[in-house]
Amino acid sequence: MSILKIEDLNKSYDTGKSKLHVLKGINLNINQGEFVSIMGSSGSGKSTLLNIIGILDEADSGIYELDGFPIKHLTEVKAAEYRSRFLGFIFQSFNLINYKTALENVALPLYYQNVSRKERTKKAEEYLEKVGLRQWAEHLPSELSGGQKQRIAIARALITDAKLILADEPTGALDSKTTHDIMKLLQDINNEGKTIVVVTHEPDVAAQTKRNVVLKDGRIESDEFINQIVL
Amino acid sequence: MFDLDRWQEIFSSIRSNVLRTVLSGFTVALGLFIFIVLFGIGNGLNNSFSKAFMRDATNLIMVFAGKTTIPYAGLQSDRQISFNNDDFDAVVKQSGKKMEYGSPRYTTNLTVKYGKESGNYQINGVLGDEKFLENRTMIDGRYINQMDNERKQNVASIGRMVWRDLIRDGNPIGKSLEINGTMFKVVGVFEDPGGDWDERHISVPLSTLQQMKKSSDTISTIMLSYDQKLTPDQAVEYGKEIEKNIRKRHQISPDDQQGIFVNNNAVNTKDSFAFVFVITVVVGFIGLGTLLAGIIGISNIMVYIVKERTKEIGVRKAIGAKPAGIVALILQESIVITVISGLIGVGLGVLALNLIGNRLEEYFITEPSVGWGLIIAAFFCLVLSGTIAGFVPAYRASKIKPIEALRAE
Repeated sequence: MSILKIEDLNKSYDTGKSKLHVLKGINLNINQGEFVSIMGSSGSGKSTLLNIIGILDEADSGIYELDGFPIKHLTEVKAAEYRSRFLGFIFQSFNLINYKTALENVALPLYYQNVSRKERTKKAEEYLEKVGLRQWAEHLPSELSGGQKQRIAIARALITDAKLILADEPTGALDSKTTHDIMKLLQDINNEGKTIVVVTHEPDVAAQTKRNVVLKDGRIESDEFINQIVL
Repeated sequence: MFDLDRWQEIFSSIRSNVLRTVLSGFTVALGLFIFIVLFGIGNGLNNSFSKAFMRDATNLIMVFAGKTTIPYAGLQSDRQISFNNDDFDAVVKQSGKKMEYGSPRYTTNLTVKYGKESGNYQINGVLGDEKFLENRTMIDGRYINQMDNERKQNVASIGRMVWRDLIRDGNPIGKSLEINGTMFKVVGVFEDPGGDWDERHISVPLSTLQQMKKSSDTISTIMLSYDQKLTPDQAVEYGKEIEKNIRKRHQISPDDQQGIFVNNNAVNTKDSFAFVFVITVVVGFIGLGTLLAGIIGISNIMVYIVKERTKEIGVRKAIGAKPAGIVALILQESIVITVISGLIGVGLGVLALNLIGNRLEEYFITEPSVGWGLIIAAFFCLVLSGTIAGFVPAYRASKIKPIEALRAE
């Protein structure tokens, strides 16, 4: 079952004098339960593609459907609603809110879905348990290691039961041991049926996913299913 | 509006950014504090001036006799002018409705005895209107009146200090004082806002005192108050008319500054209130300037706060926050900070004014205070500016794409 359908997607940026054509007709179809890595050198357009998929940015032309809903000309409010309903984000720099405890950070997406406080706390505890940080619930991000912060961010991405988890260089700021742990966690999550798209420039990380999409100069250079290295 | 979760969001944000919050709050509190204190002091100055004129009726005109310095109408200079009852009658006749109260006054210092106590006091022979002209209030009994004058009664209204000095704790009414060998019955005790000096006066019927002084009809001073409905300019003009009339009656040169003095409170009041007005305007201007500085301060800090939180806004938007929610969050926080620190500023300002109280009376500041209407207006002015100052950048922040907000460092 298709979660994500992209057809002939184009995106260019106005850089004053010239137009920078970043995405030149992307076609991509991702089904439920896939674990996709998007690779490419910097400037290949991989981050732009991820931002469009994440409804953080809008394409100039082409079709983008998320779980069957066309993503086109959304109002700010509608975009926020779709992000909240369909997507979970994991960032390279974690992007936790530094004055909120781990538990509060994890619970925040539910706040924007108007879930009651009691319910939020209960669920957040559940997901902290899942990423193995139950006992760190009351700690602030500044008191956690990089790996722990990323686990909190993963719990935050999962809590709304999003259809699609988007990870932008999730291990970019982590050492190899921690990278291993985080990828293991993502694999576990994927094995439970969650669809994950990871943007990375690390071949090791890409090898640990199930499908490699390589972008070059705004076009898909290769798109193949691989033998996943199971951690 | 009342959303417990949002309040919790705000308080955790405030708690985590104590310095930022204190700084922005400080601007507001300081602005209101200085505004209130300055305005209060301006009002205190005003009070002092008003009080200074309350010693006597504010609309008092007094005419004193002097010694001529210019020969006039065939008369020599160095002539001692002396008023008499006819002068007062002429002034009354001339004044018509312009005069509110009027009394001639014959002043002399005499020894007053009561039992073993005695002292030298100023005795004023007057009509009943003197009570109003001196702005006196009765503590006990009555003032001397027209009947006393017609019958040349030996009665006296005494100042509070005369009572304290001579009769002490005893009930003064009906007691007899010996004034220069003649017995006077005390009919009343008065208070005078002019203070102890004016309360060491004794008022007796003019006719009685003149009789004691060998049946003369001399008077020392003419006191009168002008109709309150006169404008200051009209009152000044009225004072000049009286002066002219008396100069004519006593053939004093119009250029002679010494032969007659007219002290018209309308002139003083006009000048002094103009002076106080200028001070109030200056003080008020400084106060408003401070308030404006507070407004600019809070605006700057709100811009900075939003800038600082741009990334957080991006994160919140990425995980599902709607633009309105972002605006509300920042606005509510700015309102909470301005309201709380505004209240602190108002509280401290009012407290400071209360502490100053009458301690600075010798510097001419009496009961400094600011009306609540003005305080509330200034308060809302600041809160509103803080809100607007917060709204503009918050609105802009809510509009930027989350991807740009996330990229901000």
